[in-house]
Amino acid sequence: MEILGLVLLWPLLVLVVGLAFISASSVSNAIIVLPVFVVFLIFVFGLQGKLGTGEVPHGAVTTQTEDLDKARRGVVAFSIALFLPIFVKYLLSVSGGDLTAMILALVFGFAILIWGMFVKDNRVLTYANIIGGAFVIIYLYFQLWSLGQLAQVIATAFGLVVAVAISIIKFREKLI
Amino acid sequence: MKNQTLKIFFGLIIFLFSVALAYFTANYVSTSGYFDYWATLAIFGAVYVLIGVAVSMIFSISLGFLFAADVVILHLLFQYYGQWADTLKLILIGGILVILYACAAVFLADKKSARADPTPHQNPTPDSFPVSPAQ
Repeated sequence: MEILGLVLLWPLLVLVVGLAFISASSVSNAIIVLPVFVVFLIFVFGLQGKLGTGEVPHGAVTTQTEDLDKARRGVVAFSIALFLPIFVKYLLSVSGGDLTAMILALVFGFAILIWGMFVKDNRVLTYANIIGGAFVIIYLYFQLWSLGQLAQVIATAFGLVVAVAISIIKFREKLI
Repeated sequence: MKNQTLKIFFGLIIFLFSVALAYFTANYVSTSGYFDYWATLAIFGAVYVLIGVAVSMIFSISLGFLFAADVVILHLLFQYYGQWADTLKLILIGGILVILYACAAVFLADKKSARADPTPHQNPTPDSFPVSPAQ
């Protein structure tokens, strides 16, 4: 079973990343593939060592297994961060884009973001949720702005409440 | 090292021949009018996945077939993904997100430390033993 998992892992990850690129190009246009590819490179190569692979002492030579582990973490974090806004886009599309669905999606986006901020001992989830949640919120605010003044008031009020709540939880000990 | 290179080489050969076989067969059956091009590719993709899983004990063969299946399936998705209903896409991406979150939570938790020793550990070889002046 372990061997099967080991064999299936990389082909499955390649399939997931390929689907992420196809989904990204289908929700906007083919031009978006280039910036998405840059983000992919940043995740896989730029964030190496920051995705919870442990402290490697300066000057130490990394093994191929460690490099593969780093790349795997980058691929998973990138896929989650990219699929989250695409998932929300389809959610709004299925629901017809009404205000209730948008507010629910906004709650979902903030929940993902807060989860990313407070999750312990899992840097992959931290980076994936913070970046993916931020994409979700930016996308939703663009959508909400076109729904009129009430939607703008609700969106800004909700954002303010969440920002104040996170600040109180995060910096409580510094305020006292 | 030589054995590893040989495994990669044979895996690559299997991958290339698998992809070529799928596309040549799909072209042949569609131009001859026997069967649909995309349906043939879909069948090849499914068969390659089954073979890849069945021979998972032999890495080079398994990975060759599974990566070939990736190419075929991604080509199919690229062709048909835009035509799917949004509900289907939502379910697909939701399922993938659940799988990715499960993988990240279970298998990709932070490691405490990669290594305690800053330098790579080397076993002493007979040549590295200090030689006394008497010798």
